[in-house]
Amino acid sequence: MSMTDENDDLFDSVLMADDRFRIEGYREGFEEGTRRGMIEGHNHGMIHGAKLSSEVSFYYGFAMTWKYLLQKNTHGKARKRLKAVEVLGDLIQKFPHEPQHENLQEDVERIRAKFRQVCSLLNVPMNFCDYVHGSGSQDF
Amino acid sequence: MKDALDLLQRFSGHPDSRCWYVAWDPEGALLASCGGDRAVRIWGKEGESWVCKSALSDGHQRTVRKVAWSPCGTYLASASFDATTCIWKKKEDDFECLTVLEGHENEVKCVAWAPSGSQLATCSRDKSVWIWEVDEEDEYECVSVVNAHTQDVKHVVWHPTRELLASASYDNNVCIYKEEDDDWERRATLEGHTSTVWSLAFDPSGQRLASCSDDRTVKIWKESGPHEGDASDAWKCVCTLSGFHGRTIYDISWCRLTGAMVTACGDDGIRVFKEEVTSDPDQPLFSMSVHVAKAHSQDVNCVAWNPKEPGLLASCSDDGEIAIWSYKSEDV
Amino acid sequence: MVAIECLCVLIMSWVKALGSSEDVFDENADDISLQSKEWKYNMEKRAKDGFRDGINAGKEASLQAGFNQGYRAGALRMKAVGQLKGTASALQIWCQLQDPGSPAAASVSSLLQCVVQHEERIEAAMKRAQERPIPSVGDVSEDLANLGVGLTPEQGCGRTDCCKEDTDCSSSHSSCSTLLHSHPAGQSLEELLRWCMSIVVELGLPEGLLHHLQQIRKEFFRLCVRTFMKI
Repeated sequence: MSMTDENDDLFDSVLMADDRFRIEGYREGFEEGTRRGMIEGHNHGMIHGAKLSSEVSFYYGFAMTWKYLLQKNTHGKARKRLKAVEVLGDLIQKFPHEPQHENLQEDVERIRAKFRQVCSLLNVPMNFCDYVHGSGSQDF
Repeated sequence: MKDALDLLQRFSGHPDSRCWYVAWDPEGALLASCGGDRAVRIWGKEGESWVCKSALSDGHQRTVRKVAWSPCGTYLASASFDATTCIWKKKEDDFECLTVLEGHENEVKCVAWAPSGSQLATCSRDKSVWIWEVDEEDEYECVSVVNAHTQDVKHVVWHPTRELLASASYDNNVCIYKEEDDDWERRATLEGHTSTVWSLAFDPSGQRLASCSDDRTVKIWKESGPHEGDASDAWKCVCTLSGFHGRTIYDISWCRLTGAMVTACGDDGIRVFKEEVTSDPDQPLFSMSVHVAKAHSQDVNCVAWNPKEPGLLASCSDDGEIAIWSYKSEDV
Repeated sequence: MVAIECLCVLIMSWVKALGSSEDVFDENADDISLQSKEWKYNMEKRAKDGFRDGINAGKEASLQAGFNQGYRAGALRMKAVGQLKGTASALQIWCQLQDPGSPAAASVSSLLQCVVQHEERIEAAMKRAQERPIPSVGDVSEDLANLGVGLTPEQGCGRTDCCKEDTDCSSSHSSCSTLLHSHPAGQSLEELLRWCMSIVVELGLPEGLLHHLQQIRKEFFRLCVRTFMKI
């Protein structure tokens, strides 16, 4: 290499110093940002997961309890109620508590609808359902 | 002879409030109406005029939105904004409240009796459709709750011959439901309307479904896919009637006897449509047969063909009035 | 790249030297100090800009992953208390149908109230975590502690002791069975579960119900162990 080429390289390197500081800064920032994003996302996700799980788990506890309470009776009406309650329990058991699962909204609506039917069959007073959930459905 | 819709009688059905719906009993002899005054009225013909035979005013605490007769004519169901559906039983000339169906979270928008007489469907602003079963002891039980819509459900209607249900909603869609394993589920979603779908009607054979909407069009749908064994059924829109209506179309009725279709519009008009005889079932053609521009002084909410007398039509309006019409067409 | 390293070291030493009021180069002292200061300022700015862009990019890239993780954790956290709430509600309806005024009915109502409050405390803790500013590196993560809220015995049944102030409860307190006597002032989920089980036994309800409650308890314990929650 000639002297002039070396000088050019040196000047190029000076100019690239800018980039280096920027790149270093970016790298450190990205690490910090990732950490913050994880925490922020985690707190946010926790609330959402908790809300839906609270509702669905409530239905499950409700259904299972009625399943055991109704098992004693075998006559017509109770059998229908028992079946509805068992279907509700099955629906919930299959429900994954995954944040991005494909048919989330549809599955949740199916569970809610089944719960309302069960309440109707058991003659649960209307204000009870409202007490438990306020407005009832959450849109995700 | 030109097609015509002649006014036979006009009377005040629900004073100082709107009349929401009218329904003929299966014999075509009685007309039930309901309205914002929370009452249900039964009208019958005495001589040449229609008179009020019964007034059921203690059943509901808020507006009664729709009424429906059971196929046997003995029972009447009324759907109300008070979130309940009342079942009335006819006892000689009067009606008594048999039971009250509860369960919906808010306003019930429609009730419809299945042709079998042993099932009932209701729908509500709570976005759900409920299917009820009634046994020999007149006891009603909820068989299914389906949350297929994302908004207020305005109307439900049963297929004339098959175990099939359709619903219309503020979410612009029509949903079709079938029974699967003792449970009702949505089998198809009919998309196409660009605004609220207010009402539905099956054609006499049940092969086609008509829907009317706030988008000022009427759409005719036909089932195109396989019936059984599929996860969902395919329906397609085979005809759209646009440019005929000036405002929201609130109701549609398809005559079992003549095949004529009639619409109730927010522009106060009533329009009757006829199908071209030569039209292809997959591409039907309809033409407007009669248009009565000022059928009422306000929005027409409902139109209903009489099930026994061809051409006899009832309508009702926001102005609280009920009108009886006679439709004459050279083809009929 | 060796040249650039040398250059940086050189510049850095100039910068350091400037800090100690000694001119490195006599003749061009003012010029150089001004240029060095400017250079230093520019380099710092580049680094800061890079850092800010990096933070935004890093955050964006990790939010979804964090959300998913938190979602699963939140869902698991609420499972047991949700199921217990459902169980207690069902029992309440049962009692009301069977024998409305009974002490058992009153006890179930109290239980339900306490479970609802327990759940509300957990939700409140989650909300607080969300509102709190994110701790910087080096602070101990409080997430695990949050998960543990409501589990320690000191956490009472809300601020008011529902069993002593609730009129239904206290009026039947004197006449009822061991049901109410045995239940303590503050409740952890463990205690609420035990309370529910004792009601089931007292009422002579099907044994399956006990198994159901024990299953809730078992799953909850497993979760606590996995996430190191304080029990």
